[in-house]
Amino acid sequence: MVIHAIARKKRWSMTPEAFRALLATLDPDWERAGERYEEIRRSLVCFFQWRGCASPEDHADETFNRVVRKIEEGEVIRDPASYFHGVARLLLLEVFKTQTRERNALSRMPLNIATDPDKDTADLEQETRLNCLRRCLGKLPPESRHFITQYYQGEKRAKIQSRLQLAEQMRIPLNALRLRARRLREKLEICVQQGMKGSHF
Amino acid sequence: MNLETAEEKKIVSYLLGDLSEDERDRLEVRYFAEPEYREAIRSVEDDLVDEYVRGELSSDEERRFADLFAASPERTRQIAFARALAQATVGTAPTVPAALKESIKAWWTSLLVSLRSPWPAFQVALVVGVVVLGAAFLWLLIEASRLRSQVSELNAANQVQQENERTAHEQMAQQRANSDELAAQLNQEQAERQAGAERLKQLQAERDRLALEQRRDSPSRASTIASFVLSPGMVRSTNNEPDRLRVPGNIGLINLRLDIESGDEYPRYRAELRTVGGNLVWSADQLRLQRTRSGQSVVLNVPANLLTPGEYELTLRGVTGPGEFLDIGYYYFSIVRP
Repeated sequence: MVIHAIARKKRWSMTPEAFRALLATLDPDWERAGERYEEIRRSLVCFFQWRGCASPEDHADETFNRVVRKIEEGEVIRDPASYFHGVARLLLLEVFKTQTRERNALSRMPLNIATDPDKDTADLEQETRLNCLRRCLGKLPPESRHFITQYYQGEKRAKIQSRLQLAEQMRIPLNALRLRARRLREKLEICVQQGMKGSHF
Repeated sequence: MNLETAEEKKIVSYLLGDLSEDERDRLEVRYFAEPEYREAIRSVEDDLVDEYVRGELSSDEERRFADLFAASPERTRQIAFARALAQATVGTAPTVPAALKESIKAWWTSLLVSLRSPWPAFQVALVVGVVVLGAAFLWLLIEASRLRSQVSELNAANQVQQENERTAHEQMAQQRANSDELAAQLNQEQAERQAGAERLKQLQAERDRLALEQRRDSPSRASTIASFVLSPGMVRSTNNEPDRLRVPGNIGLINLRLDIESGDEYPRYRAELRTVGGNLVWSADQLRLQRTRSGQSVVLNVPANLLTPGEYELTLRGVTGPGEFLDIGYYYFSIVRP
């Protein structure tokens, strides 16, 4: 039974038809379904990250695979958000069990000396990252650039006060301010990742 | 959605793996179900990463963060980006000058040192001063609140009074208008009454004038009556002439008593006086039967000035119904003026 299950896992992969069926479950409108897919995937990645998983993206994809298999079997999903959460939780339990087994196995193995990370490479990478970020900041409109630098100024209480003042100046609530900062930060992260790829990091 | 500090702390505990299983499950249900809550958790995560790279976490938090967040390449990338962002944004905004910061810090430090002074009296005085200031502040707050409520009450009372005054003015104006209208009506009526009184005076004067003229013409006529008795069917005397009634010039009324034979009783009678030519000279309705010891009769009073010398026929008619008459008798006489 276990062998069959493993074999099935290895053979199954999401086909275009299966993906379309998944999108149709999320929303009748194709575009909105795509947005919902991206949002759910991000949520799953964060979920597995917060739970300490080493491969959150793989686990998020596996969650989608399992949901699609259920749809192919005729399952009707009325509440996608809670359904994905439920499948993710079950997958997490499996991952923890696997991790526990692996940890136990590792504890019985002779200890190997861990290799030190290459400090020079890490420093160079960080320098490249900083340069990419500066370039990305330069591409932002002036008011967005000013906003993001203001938002991340200060430390601890001064930072909180600074953000309250910024919200007052812009006449928006604090949560709207945080959301705006979050969006800009994501944009910068994507820009930096693309810049890093170009730099072969 | 407004994140309260307690909620942020709960999210931080979740991210650092400090929540109980139940609390974690509840949070994750909200996370998957509420898009706003998802954004809120991600914002707190960003802040947590920023605080880590800037060294603002406590040692315990830093240790747990490193254990959890360093577990995946994605997280490592997040931390690296946050580090770059901190480096890119530091010193790009106006900050408090360092000297001023130092002086403020020195002031605070000296205050804190003085609070730890070995002089109890100073400490006691400081505490008493703080307590007194606090009490004064509290009293001011209460007083201000009381005064504000008084002002509100006064404003409300003022508004009510203004409203009442406005209503009173309107009522006065209305009453003034009514009074003016009544005065105008009164004036009109007075004028009409005066006109009526004037007219009455004129008529009275005219009447008096006519009465005076009449009395001048015949001073004792109105009060003198001549009475005659007439029998029915008395047509002519033996010489076939009607009875001659001598009426002096001073007679005002001619009283005629018409004898009625039995069988001719009616509730009402009508009398018609005609000349020989058939012209109606006088008539009377609603005449009643009068019974005396000598018999029954109908009595008439004819104004003497209507009867000029000449021959007359008087018809007596019994009223049998509305507009219906029955001739009872004919009375003939002539008027002679001596």
